[in-house]
Amino acid sequence: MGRLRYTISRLLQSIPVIVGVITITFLLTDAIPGDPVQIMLGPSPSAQQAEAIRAKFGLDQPLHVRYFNYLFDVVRLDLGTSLYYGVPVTQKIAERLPVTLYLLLSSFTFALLTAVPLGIISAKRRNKPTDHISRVVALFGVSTPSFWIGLMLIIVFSFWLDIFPATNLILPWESPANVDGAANQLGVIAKSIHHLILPTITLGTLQMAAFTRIERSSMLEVLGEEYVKLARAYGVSETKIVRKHAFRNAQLPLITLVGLQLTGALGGAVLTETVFSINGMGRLIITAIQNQDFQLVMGTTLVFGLVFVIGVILTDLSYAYVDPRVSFDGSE
Amino acid sequence: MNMSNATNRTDADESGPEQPEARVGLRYTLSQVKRDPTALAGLAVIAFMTLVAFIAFVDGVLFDFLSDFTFFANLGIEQYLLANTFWVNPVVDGTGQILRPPVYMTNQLYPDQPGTWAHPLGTDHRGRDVLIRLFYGTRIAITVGIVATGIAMVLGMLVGAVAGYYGGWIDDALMRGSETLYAIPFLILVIAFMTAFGRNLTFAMIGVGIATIPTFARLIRSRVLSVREEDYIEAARAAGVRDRDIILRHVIPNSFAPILVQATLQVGVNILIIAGLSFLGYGAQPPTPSWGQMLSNSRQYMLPNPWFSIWPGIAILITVVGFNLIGDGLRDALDPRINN
Amino acid sequence: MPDENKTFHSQLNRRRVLQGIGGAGIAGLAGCAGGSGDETEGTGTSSGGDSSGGDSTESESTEGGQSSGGKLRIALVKSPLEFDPLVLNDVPSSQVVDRVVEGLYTYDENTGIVPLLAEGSPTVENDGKRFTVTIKEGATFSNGDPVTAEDVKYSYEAPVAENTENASELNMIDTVEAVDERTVQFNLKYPYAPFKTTLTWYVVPKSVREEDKEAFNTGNSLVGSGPFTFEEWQEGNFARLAANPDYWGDPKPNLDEIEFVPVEEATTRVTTLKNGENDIIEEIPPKQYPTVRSIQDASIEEVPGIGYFYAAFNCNEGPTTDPKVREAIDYAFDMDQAVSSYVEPTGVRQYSPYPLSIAESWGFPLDEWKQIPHGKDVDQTKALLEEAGVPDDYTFKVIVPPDDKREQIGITISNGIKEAGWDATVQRLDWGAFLDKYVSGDESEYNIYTLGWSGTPDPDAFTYYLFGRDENTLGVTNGTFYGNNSEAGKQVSEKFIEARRTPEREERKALYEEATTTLLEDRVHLPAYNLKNSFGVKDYVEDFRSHPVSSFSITSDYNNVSVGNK
Repeated sequence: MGRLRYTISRLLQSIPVIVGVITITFLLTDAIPGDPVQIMLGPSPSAQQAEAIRAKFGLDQPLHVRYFNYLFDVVRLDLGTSLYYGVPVTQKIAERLPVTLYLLLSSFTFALLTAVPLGIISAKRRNKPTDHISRVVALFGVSTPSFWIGLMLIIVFSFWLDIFPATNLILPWESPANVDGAANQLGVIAKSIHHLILPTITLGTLQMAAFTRIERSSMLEVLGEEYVKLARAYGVSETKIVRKHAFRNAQLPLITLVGLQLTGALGGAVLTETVFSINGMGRLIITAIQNQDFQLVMGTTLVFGLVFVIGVILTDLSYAYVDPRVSFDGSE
Repeated sequence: MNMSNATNRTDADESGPEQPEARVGLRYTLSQVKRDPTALAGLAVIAFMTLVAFIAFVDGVLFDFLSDFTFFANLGIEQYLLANTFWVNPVVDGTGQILRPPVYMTNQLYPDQPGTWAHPLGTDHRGRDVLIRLFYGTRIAITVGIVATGIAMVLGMLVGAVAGYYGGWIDDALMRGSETLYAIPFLILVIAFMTAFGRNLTFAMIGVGIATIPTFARLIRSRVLSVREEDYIEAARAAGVRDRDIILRHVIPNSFAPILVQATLQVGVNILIIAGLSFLGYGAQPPTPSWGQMLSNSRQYMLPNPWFSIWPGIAILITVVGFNLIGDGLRDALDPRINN
Repeated sequence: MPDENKTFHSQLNRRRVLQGIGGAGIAGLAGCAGGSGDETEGTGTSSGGDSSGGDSTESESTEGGQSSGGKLRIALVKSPLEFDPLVLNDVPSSQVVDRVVEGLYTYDENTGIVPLLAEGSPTVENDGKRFTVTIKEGATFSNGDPVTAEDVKYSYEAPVAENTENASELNMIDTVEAVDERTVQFNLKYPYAPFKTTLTWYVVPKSVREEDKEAFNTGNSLVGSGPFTFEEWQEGNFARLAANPDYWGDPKPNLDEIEFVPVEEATTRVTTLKNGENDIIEEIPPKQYPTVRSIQDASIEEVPGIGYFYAAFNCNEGPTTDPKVREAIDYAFDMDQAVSSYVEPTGVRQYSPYPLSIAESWGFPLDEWKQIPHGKDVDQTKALLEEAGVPDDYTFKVIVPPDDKREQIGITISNGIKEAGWDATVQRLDWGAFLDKYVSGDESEYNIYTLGWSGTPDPDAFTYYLFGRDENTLGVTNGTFYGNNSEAGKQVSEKFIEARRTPEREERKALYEEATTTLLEDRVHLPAYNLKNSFGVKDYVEDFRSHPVSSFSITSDYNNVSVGNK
């Protein structure tokens, strides 16, 4: 009950943010020099042709009219038609968004599955060799450009060793008929995972490192708390302390970080998708910007904004799930 | 604590110190850092990189300057200058020096062209010495990283301090604004910004600076919120000190330590972002030697000559590790809980 | 100048300005197969079967004796965008559609024109203003309908009537008449000498396209008379064709299926060739040649395309309007060396606007033209720039499109200028920004640019649009028009326009030679190179041919691709 109300109020609070996203993107795209019509038709199209297209996409109206028209359209869930692709923006996004979400999901899973144990071990064995190794790994992880990791992985695993493919991402629910060498749905899923491994590592390394670092420090912090010291004094075993007392509380900062990393990861997805020629949102948005596909830039950014907002709300919700001290009734 | 503050709550976790002693002076910080081997290692790395950058800088500027005088030009400076441009931006197109492997290495595909000491790290697709270009790239990376952080820091401090100090609708408005900036993936924000205003390093720095304002704004704001209630601030206010002076003289100096930590880490992050931008073609224009652009160029030649894509990556890695080590060192030094 | 734009008809369309992609298959008018029909009813077409490869049925009749059927995966550089041949205007789309839709005529292995849907050569009357073509008996679209004169008339008229981006390719036609079921008559506005190349234009079934143009364009209802039919397309992922089991022509395709996948990154393309993800990859960049050669079970299939890449000057404003300055810049660098370093072996040095195959078949004085460009001599640059009175602090602006090879040429030029003591900048721009600046002719935007051009295998395609100036080309050359500041330029323009209206070949040749020599000596363009249509091909793929005009050939009179044991 409280949870629902909380969610709704958070959603309402994020409306100004979404409007802000639209406004910023709108002004930026408007400032981009060059004529989108020209890109479509080549330089110097006939005036008639150009005018027809301008009118079709509403480019002939003044800025503020277009702005409010756009806001109004968004309310009606109409994101317009892409100039470059000639199809509705929503259709394009529906094609591409699952790919990027799939990639994000897999790299966050990878990051969490490695970071949490690594961080805990590191904290438990503070200043022991294990700790040093995991800290160095984490340090290098946050310091390496993700796309460079991608390039190196391609050289080693695709070209030299020929173990993993270097391009494309196959969605696990793709029909077997469209996937080369997959007899049935299981085959498709296997292929999908095979294709996913290198991009996941590329995009996930940075998150993994960031998560490890915060997991370690928050674990250390919790292990230094009075109640843990007390438990230790009572002779509770260290493993049990970690599992029973410290673990939950130590996850709080990590959860928040996961939410915050979303925006960075979406940016990282642009690079990862470029390196592996994956047709996701990242490449879509770059294509849109380069071709001044105004409607598409607006639509994709808006969706990114929404993904971020939803991500943060989910983070907050899971926060309360983990931390019993947090309640939803809004009181301190 | 209200749930909607969940995000704010962890700002401190992210950037480290949330220590009880609010006032941590610069001197104390430095004395702590001196004792921390991690931070010292970081400092050493950055000092080295800065030196490299500085040499490249002096090399360029000094000889540019000297060659304007006939006297020096007659001394052969002009020849040196030519050789200099030759390194960075050589005119030796197609002399068989293209894509040389590093010294002692051979390339399977061109076995007749082994690496030589003339180009210890090999040459690139235009026959330019990779090592020299890495040197020049250092200068760009460090400058750009620091300037972008500076922009974000100054603007972020302003926004955060004002929001935190005044509270109310000002706070709401500013924080929503910074949340908005945060909601657009900054790589995309910066690319759109650069497409609109100019595709060069200057706008890359400004764009990254603006896009990362929220990081600093939030940090300062949370600091201000805690400092605001301190007795001495109340006292100052009661004594009729103007708001602006309170912010500038008391609030900001007292938030110095966490900002320093955040800024150091942010320089590293910015170097990564700008490398990514250059990789996508939004950064230094050719032939300016930036690491990201070198990587982007190298993609075409990755298979015959992987070295060419390995070096710039390592250069970025070392530099960013340097900044992260300093940042970590600072953080540890300032955080008594983790430090004991 | 804005007024002039009104009459201009997007001559410079996307397919013609070579956008980064190599010379591969820019064939403006390259048809491969064709036919017409009514009703979507038909056999194995898009509307009909799902995986209608028809397994071994149709491949029995083929000569190769290869294992029948098979699927071919080709990695293109970019994804196709649309499939209506009357509308599409980008290279990847035409590469796909060329297998599905045919034309009246097509190219032989080289640039010769041979009948496809047509019977014999066209009859030319009325001083080269009337062409009459008879359609082969038994030519059918894949839905079973015969190819009729009405379909041909429709295919040639619709682009102009609908004002599509391809209208300019056909606007020399005055009227098209369907004389009877199988005879078409083209009446031209003026004697258009290269009209035979226009006759390679696609022929589509009128009834099917008229029924739903949208579906025709997305491929859903695309029907042609070619050896393959359209199956499925996912933008950015793949486009799939299947063999047309009822193909009217000979030979029947050996392959069951062709899948085109876009892989933009060259290194990745090569990697996918090596590990067998793809059977054929398009466009191998210069430095990847040794890598591809080092792949044990693959080889390179290549042929020079019909393209022209060049460096050129802002002839509208600024110092580069002065021929002396242009010559100075020619002295600043060595194009031979630049091309050998950054383009070969992907491309070949070219000394005139005409690709070698055209220049040779016309017997142009290549040796003479080869002597025109200077080698590198920075002192000359210095002397000439001083003589022309270019201020010491002048900064030359070079703009290049987003393509590595042209960027390298641009950097080489700027290096040379710097060496001579002037400043120079190179800006690599996105296509939108590039075209925007390039047509402006504004000195503050650029002095020098690099660009590429492609077209049909006729000299006209490389002269009229680039140097000509009449009501049809205004706009393309706005910024760069050589005649803006030069009497010689105006004459060159007139000669090129005259040449296209001269049916007599020797007369035409003389006009081209004179005008070309003038413009080369005046250094309006510094011709640079022509790209090859290059493909990395796995050894188990048999009989795959690259083609100068239509990029590659799968099933034709002279080849029929099959896939052997992997």
